[in-house]
Amino acid sequence: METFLTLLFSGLSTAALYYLLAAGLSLSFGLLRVLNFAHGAVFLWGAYTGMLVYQLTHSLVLAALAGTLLGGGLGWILERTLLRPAYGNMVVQVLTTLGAFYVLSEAIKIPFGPDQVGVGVPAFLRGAWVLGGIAVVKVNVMLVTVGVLVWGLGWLWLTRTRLGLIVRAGIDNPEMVMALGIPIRRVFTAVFVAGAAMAALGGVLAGQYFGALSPDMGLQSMLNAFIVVVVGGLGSYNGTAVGALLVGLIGAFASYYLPSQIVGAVNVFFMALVLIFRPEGLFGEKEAGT
Amino acid sequence: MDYTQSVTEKTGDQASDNAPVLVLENVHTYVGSFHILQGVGLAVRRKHITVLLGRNGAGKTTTVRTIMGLAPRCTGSIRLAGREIRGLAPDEIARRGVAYVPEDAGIFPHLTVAEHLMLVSGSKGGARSGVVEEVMELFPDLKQAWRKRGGALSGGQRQMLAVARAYAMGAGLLVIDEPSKGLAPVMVERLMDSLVRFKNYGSVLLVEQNFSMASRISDDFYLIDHGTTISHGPMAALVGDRELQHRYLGI
Amino acid sequence: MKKRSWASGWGVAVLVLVGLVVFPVAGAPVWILSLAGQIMALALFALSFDLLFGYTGVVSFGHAAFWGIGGYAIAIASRAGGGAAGILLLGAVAGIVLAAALGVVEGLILSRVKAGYFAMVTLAISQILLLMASSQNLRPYTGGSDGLNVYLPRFLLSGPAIYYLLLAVLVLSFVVLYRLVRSPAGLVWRGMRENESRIESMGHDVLAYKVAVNVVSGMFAAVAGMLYMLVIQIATPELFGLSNSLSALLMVIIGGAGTLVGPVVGAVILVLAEHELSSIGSNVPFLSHWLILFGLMFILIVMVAPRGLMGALDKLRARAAARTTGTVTGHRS
Repeated sequence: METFLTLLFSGLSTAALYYLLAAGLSLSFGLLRVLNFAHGAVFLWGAYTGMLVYQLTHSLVLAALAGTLLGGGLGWILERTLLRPAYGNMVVQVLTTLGAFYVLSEAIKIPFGPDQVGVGVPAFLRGAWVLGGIAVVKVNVMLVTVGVLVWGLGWLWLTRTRLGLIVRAGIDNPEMVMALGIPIRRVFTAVFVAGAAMAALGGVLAGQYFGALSPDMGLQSMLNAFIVVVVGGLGSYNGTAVGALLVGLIGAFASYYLPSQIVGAVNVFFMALVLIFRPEGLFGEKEAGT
Repeated sequence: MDYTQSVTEKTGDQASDNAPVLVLENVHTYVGSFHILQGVGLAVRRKHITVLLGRNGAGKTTTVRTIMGLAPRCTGSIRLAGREIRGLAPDEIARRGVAYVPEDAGIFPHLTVAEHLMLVSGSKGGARSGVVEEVMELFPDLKQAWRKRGGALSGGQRQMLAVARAYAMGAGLLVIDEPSKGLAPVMVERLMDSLVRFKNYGSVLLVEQNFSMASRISDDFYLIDHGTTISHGPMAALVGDRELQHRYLGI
Repeated sequence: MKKRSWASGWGVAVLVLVGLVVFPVAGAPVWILSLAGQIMALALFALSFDLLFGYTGVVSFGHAAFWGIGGYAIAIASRAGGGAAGILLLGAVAGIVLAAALGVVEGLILSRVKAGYFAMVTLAISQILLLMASSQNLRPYTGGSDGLNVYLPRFLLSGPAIYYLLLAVLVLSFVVLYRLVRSPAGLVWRGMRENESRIESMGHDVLAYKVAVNVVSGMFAAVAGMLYMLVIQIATPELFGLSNSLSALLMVIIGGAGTLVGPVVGAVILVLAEHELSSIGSNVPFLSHWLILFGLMFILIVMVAPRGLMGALDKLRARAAARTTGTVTGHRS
């Protein structure tokens, strides 16, 4: 029973991480119809920024803030330089964001080198509380808290604000939103930037979670985010949350019971299952002509 | 973001009430390598219903999309209340007071009826504003479906919602593409009523295949075939001309 | 119009071919032959990707999966047979069959999912293969993260034997692909790039063609990987890595997608530039990350000149022709 609960909680915290990573991707794809390959790079840069700022200031809050702002800024630059000029041309956008991903991933190696670097964790987050025989790792608690908070704020924003209403309409039919006189491209940018900021925040927290960072985390995170989006369904806000939960929990239990080589494949396998039986994702909509 | 200014408010009342609200001149539209519209011309009179008729594939929907700025490439002149709008982005055209209802009504499956109206009336989420209340009174069918999502509405309700949305937008020109398609006769009647009532507020450019409906509510007609305007005039003239009806509408 | 421009193209090709055949005999040092070998292997890899991406319009980020399959097939066979030619051949066949199988899988996936998804799925597949190749558990078979050394049969070790073998395979493959893209099947593939629904409404079984292009392209990519193995003689998990898949994209896009010749040119450029930049890079620290420069160049080219070098050349040729004859050469399909 203890094992089960520990695994459960571990899975929940990975889920929170995946959620932060994938939410922006899902909304961007749902709204802009483009898969942003540079998303994983934003995560990576957020992670390294967070680590650096923490090293300099010993304040996790500042590190998180710095990472989030950097992520948003990077997202804005990507949107303006790569996505906007190629609006509507999916192949070009996919290729250029892949190129950007590669450049950004390699660029991280210049100041930080290709090997793993350690991340400083503040004292109050080290270790675990022991509750009734189970070790509740403090970092995990923080992760889950942040994850739930961000999800909740996002949900409120989507359902209760005008901008959120526009985004929801845009996910259904962006052309029609324009025909109603709403300049939806501006909204695209805002959503994209928000998604990037979330991914970067995820990166900062990932540093705390793993205690170490390496440049190939970008690719790994990109793949995981993608799996979450596929499982949950594109453009579905809560679908992404459910997808993250499923992938996180499955991953946690799999890594306990299966040899490490197979674990990476388990996620992909699960995604393959979803793709075969429900290609639009658990909460996604079947699009005409895709 | 306030989108409630109508055409008349924005551009000022025309000197003559007879000046048309929308004029197309020699419009050519190219989709890929296809030359779809080959010189379309039409004029929509103020507070009148003008119908665009023609067979399938004649170019009616392309004409309407061209007007809304949704066509990839076009030449010619499109003037709204005297000002050129060809080449403008769709949202810019819409803000100048044009409400577009595409063939499938352009309803958002995930938004509720209320949210549809809130989206165009500039109100914050959650609050029912004055404009929205007004519109709800005009469309009692929709009032009951207030909380229903677009995806759960019937075809007729969707078209009604689209027209109601045009009201809520404060549009001076309603451009509506084949609204009666697939609707039960009862709904078609109600739809016709709402279009006729719209004349009190603004003008209507209607695209229709359903000749009996179109002939009953339209004031003017334009006949399109193979991407060009073949004939036009008052509706009464077309009703009497069986030969024209047969040749270009297959009646 | 077309015949004339291609006639001169064939003339150039024959000249180049003669040059390529003669030059090792003229006494070229081993490292140049090795470099040429790498270029040829990558050229074939690029050609295979051109079929998939350039002609059929399929975006894949995991083409290295086939490359790696081919490479490891040779490496494993070489280890098992101690370098015996017969076993190597067997391994090659096995590799091609495996690649074809993966091609079938990817083709089926392609018919189910959106283009953006497919790109990611292919990436995921190549990453899984990478994980498998570097896994400790499979070390006895795949050599783990250290990789496998390749032993070659004696007749391949003498002189420019490898070079000529590669040249022969490359030329043969080029001819086969050339005929393929001009065949009825090739027309269907090209049609799928432009407008899939129209092709479907014409009665073609789009699913079958999607599977076919993945299979053919995958098989050639695997052969390319095998050729590469003959040159560098060590198989490491990085064969499956994203940078190799990206290289395929780079070569095709720089050289010109959908031209066959373009990707070959792209391969030459990529290998030579890599070679130059990495040797300069040992002196200038920033340049050791020349991959970044390539990434940037890739982005620029995609945005500014999507038809690559061949496209630019074509435009120049068209402009020149228009000036002299008053007409414009037809849009090269």
